[in-house]
Amino acid sequence: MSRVYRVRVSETVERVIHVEDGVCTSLELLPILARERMQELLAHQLRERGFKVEGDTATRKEDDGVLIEVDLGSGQVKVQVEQSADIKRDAERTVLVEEESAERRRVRLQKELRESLEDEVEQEQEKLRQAATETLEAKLRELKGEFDRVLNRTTAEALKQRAGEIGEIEELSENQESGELTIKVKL
Amino acid sequence: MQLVSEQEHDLLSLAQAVVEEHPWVTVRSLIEIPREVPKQLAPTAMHILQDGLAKGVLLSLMRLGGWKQESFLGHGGTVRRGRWWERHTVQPLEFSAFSLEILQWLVGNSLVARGCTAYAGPPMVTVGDEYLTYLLGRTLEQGELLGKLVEQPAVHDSVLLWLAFPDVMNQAGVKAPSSEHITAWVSGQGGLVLEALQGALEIHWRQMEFRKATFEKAKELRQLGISQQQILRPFLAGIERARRRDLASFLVDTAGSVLRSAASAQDVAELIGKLLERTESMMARQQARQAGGALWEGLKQVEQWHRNCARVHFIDDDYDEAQMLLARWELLGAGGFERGSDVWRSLTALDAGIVTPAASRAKEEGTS
Repeated sequence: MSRVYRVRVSETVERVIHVEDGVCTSLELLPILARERMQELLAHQLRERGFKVEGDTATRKEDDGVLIEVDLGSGQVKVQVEQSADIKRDAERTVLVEEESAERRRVRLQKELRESLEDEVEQEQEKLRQAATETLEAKLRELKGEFDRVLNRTTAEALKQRAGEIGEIEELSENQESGELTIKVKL
Repeated sequence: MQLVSEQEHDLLSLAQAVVEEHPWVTVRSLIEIPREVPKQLAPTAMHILQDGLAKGVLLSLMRLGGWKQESFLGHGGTVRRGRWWERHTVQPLEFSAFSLEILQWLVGNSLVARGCTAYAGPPMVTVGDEYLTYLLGRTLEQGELLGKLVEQPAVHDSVLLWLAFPDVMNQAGVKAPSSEHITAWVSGQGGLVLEALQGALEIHWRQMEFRKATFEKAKELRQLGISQQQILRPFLAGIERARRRDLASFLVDTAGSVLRSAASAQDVAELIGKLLERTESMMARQQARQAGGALWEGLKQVEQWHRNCARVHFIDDDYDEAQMLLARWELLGAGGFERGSDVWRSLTALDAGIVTPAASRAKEEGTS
């Protein structure tokens, strides 16, 4: 007759998880002036909005962890969000088993417990990624309007400079809200 | 009366069903139940097959679009208008041993059975072979067995299969034809076949476009979009080199149909990936929607050609060709091309992957 054993196993899973999400698009800058000058005007507009310009790249880090990067040469905009978290999960299980199968059951139980904790960590990681995506979505709604304004201002400045080059500006009226710009030039 | 054996009768019946595009219910048993295959056809059966294919494929080309009154720029720059057989001196399409052997393979195998034997015959050689393969594709698609055909390496060079079923070709891991191959293909009889098939291709592409509103997984939408890009890019380069820009008319017609079905370009853009899971990352959704915009990306190239054509003057050499293309694409016109660009712009905008309240409402209505 075999004896009954009580098998207790415990397991701990500790992970540093890192999630990221991001989108990429291109700014459509009209070629009103030479490329380098359009680039300068764009850099100027971005600087005014808190971007740090280094070489051909303008970047701004938001409070919610969103990083905006503009390649002034190609007009490519990248918006990324990264988040990290330390996750620790532990669990314990106890079962009653017969003497002959005690060791086999202990190994199996340990494995099952570990897999279950790994699943929990994966679910946490997915939750964190979804939270990062929501942060990004909210930010993109704001940024769309901001980049539209940046483009409008850059285009308006370029038009003013171009008008100044081809003649004498007699009258200039600008509606900041609608982005409408009227320039009268004497040739 | 001409007599053939029972086995020959099965093969001839399949050929007839494929060429005449019989409904799947009548073809199904020939495809699903393996039959004894005649190794060699007797002269009577061979004559019936050759005659049936030669006449049948021409009739099929007429049915699939050759009946339409269109224009064609012939040699010497003269524009010929009329139905397909009036615009061209139509030569019967030729068939190699491939056509007979692929039919034998289909009759002798069950495509629904596990362990279906791979086709081991010669590859496609003629445009006739390729057109027959395309018709086989149309038939097998009805029974969702097209994948079994495109798995066969002998059909991997088919431009027509790629143009009609890019998603299935991509799924089977087939490499898209190069632009050089397409140039050579459309410069010959392939170009004539493609000219007659513009209407049929428009239907294939319109169906794919509307399917994009049904995907829930970003990966599936992306895969379809990528497969369309894989063929469109070399195709547009290939036909431009061959001076057959008119062969891109099916794209213009598809864009026209899709734009007419929605109130605005923004609505068209929102249809692409409308049901994508909101839980997927923005990156995945944006990449999927951008790939899903393959039609609109390709249309930008055609828009450029359209703009160039409008600039060609009466005294220029290409005037007749430019006028022919402008007339062919008139239904979409400059305004339609502009709306097409707006669709592409919306798909690539910074906030493109964001689920709008309207899209989210549509999804709820769709699932309730």
